[in-house]
Amino acid sequence: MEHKEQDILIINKILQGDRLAFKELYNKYSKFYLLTCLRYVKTKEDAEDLVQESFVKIYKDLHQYDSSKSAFLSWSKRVVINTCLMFLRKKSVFNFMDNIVEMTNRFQMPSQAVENLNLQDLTKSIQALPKGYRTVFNMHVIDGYTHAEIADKLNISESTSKSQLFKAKKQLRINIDETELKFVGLYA
Amino acid sequence: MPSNNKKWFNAFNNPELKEEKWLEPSDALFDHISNEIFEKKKKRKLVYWLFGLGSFLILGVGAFMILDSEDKTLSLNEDTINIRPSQSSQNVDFKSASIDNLLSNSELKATDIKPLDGNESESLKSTVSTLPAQLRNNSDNSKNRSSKRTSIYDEELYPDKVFSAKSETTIANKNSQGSQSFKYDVKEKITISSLDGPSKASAQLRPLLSFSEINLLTFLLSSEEGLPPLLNHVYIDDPTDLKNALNNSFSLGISFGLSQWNFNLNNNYITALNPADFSFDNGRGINAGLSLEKKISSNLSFISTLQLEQIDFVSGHNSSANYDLLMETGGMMTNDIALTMATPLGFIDSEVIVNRADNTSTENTALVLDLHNDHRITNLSLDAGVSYALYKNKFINISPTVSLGANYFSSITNELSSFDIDQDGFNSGVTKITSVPQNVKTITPFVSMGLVLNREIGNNFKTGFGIAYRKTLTPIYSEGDFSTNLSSLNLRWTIAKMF
Repeated sequence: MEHKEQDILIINKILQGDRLAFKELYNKYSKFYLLTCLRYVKTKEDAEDLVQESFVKIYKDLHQYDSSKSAFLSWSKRVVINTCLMFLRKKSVFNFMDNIVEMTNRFQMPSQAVENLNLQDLTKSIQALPKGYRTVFNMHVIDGYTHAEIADKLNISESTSKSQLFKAKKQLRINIDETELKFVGLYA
Repeated sequence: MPSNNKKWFNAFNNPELKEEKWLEPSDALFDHISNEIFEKKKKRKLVYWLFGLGSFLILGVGAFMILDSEDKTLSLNEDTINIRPSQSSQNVDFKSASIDNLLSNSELKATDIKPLDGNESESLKSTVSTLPAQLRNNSDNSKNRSSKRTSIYDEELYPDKVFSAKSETTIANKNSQGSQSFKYDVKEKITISSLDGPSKASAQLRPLLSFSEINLLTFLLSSEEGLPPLLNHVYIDDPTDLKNALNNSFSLGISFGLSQWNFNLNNNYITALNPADFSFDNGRGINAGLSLEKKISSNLSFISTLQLEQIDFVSGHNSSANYDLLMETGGMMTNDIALTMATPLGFIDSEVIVNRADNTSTENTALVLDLHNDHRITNLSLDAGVSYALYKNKFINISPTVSLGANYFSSITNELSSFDIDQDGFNSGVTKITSVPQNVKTITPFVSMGLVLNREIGNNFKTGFGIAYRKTLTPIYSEGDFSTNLSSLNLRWTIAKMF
């Protein structure tokens, strides 16, 4: 059975009150949602909180899902991303701290091509980006949002979105050119 | 890098992640989700029920207050009233007449009765003399009566019974009908006790009409236990107290004043912001509102205020930034720097443009920006409580007040008004706020305590000056360990019309 048909079957069961089906959905997608969240936030703890919040939203809005319009994975991933963006907006405090204590995150990565890095290293490389760069990079490159959509969702201009993406890519290039992967947090 | 976009996309959009052990969620995650969904649902149902019940009670009490808002308790001074059976009442067939008819009849007849004056006093005395002997002493000289009860008696209607009634009445639904003529509809449950038996009846005492200076009120006394109603006139020798009390029964006013807001940041927040030399001042602004006062008893009043405030304040702090020569684009010697700024209400994002005035610099430069923010809050608040007349005479009334209410921040605007740069060779450019504070609680409950001084001006107006201290019961900003509470001081001048 294909993913899509399988998903529809599970969803119908959940809508009929089948809790085991919900567990099935969780087993199927929790890792993917966690990976998505880890691209937006830096700690697994925060990411798990977001996965939890996302599952609750997905469950609540499940009756609104229309399988004829989009695949469940696409629909649910949007829910997860929106949850992450909401979280980041609330976490402005950490940006402020960045400004104040000049926290710098540096990492060095083996000189390998992107395709040769494993998923965990790639995730770390994204996580090491400053929040603004990271968010725009994730949304545009990995999650397929246009700059106009990013501008709308983040309340920034399109040119800012493009500029942030440019800086993100530049930063990633520098990072990937380094020789070894190491994550160090320095506080001035 | 653009050529790598697809690789990045593919790497992170494959849901098959069984091999990625590092992505295994913690064991407790599913339980948390399950609890959140399935257990909270039950709690939510209870909350909805409680909310519904609370709403029902509030609406019920509110509806009762509105419907009953025209009721007013008033203690008539025994020395100022004189009650006798109405001569006109003897012409009405109470046994067959409906209450409405009685009211109409009595109104028509009462219009012929003139205010109490010297001549009327004579006629009153002669009427009073028809009361039974045991009550006559009380009624002959109304000024000297000390009885707590006032006798009501009609020999023709009730030859075998003598009734007594409390002289306390509830007067309500006062409709102004001309400059000196009023109509009152009074409802009260009074006890009528038969002197020749233990039976007691509950009855309504309803003054129907009064005339200039409230010398005369006409009461319809109707029994609820099959007794035919009585129509009585109440003559008031000194209507001042009654008039004052009635005039104060309900008032609606407008107010204007000044507000000062004090933002109380908790220790965690202050400690976190200290390294940035964070500072802010108290908010100051103006307020305007509508106030309502309804007497509950002679000293206690229900009060409610709807108030709009516009408060301005400033805040500022230092922030570090890095001027990156590589980030200069299009041949412009500028950097567009994104900053997160602190305010008493949390954090906001901004973009500032730093201009490099000196093109001799060849290195990136660490800058310290001194940021100055302007903030404006528009707040709509509604509170309800009580005031107690601690001191009052015919002109001045001093009342402490206490109330509960809620603030609603209808708008919060922030502006990065300016920023200074610590390094020579750089100057500040355009600024833009790109986000609003995300963790402001737009609705917060508060408790208010104050003091009001009122003075009557003319027959139907009063003016007052009030001061109130308000304190929010929950933070207006809360984020993790950081929070800000609000206390405020309001000075208000009020002018109110009394109804």
